[in-house]
Amino acid sequence: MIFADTDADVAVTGSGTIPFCASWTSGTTAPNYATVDIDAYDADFLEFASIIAVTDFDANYAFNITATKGTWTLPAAYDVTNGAKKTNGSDSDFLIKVADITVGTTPASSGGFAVANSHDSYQAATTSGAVIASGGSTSSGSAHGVESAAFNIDGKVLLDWDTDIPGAYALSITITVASQ
Amino acid sequence: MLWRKLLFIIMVQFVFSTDYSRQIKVDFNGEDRDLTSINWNGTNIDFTTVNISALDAGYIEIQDLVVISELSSNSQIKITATHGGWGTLPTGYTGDKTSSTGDVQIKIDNLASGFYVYSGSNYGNEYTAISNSGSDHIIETAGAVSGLTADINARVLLDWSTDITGNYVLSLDFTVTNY
Repeated sequence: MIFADTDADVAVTGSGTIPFCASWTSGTTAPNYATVDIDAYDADFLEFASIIAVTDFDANYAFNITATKGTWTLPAAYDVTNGAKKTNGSDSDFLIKVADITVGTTPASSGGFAVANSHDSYQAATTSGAVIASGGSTSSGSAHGVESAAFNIDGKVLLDWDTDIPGAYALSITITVASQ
Repeated sequence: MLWRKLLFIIMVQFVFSTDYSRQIKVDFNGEDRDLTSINWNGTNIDFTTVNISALDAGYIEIQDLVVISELSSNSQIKITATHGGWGTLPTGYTGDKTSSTGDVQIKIDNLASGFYVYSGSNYGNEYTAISNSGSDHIIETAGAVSGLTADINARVLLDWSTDITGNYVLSLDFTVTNY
């Protein structure tokens, strides 16, 4: 019996750990404190819609989005003792909420983008950060991420006739995403 | 009578003077067997390179996954791509990758004259899925060839919602056989 003779086959292996990946397309609209007026003082607050707008959010695993407040820049004559706003950011005068949510797509049409820690209504932002939204799943047998989600973050600054004197105010809000 | 005695002596001498023990007879017959020589090398895939761009695109692309630098054969051959399955998937994985198949596509380019995309297949035109059947023929020749070259490219499909972070292991096999 005579057999054919052929050189060896080729085997290719793919291996490695796919890292946690998250992507968003975002825009910001800085709160303009120059728009503070009598009505705002009477209402004790002024809202700023969509200070952060995320039009496309993707993550390949369960995630948390955290919002962290910076410290206030206040007018030089601001009453740091009696005024609510604190230069170290330890106050509760700036609040945020997550709005206009698109939950995105998931394998079982569940476990999409969702608010966390009651941030579907205004909650005071903190310098230590708070999870404002999450999504995906870590469950064994059904772990997943989220694709094509979207959301906005609205802001609200509290105002007080007595202490919020004219002058320059500034504050930053930072959102970060991390794997659960 | 003398001539008969001489003839007998000559015949006896002739017989004993021939040494057949120093002869061997070989008969050659049969057909040449099918012989194929191929030099090809594969590049392993590193899934740590998966990033946002790859997930947005829906795949990672590996150009020249296998490079055929020289194929010679005295008969018509075909090359087969076989999905060896996903040997390792992250805990909780729910997507299209399975232990036997899923999410791998192949495309052929830079075919030297004499190589052909397998008849009836689409591997030369677009990235096309391969299976674990062992019958996904991707390249063929029409007959005996010498020194042919070609490149085999691959895509591993990715999905934001299902291709979760974690360890993945995939095996692919390429074989050359005679028709």
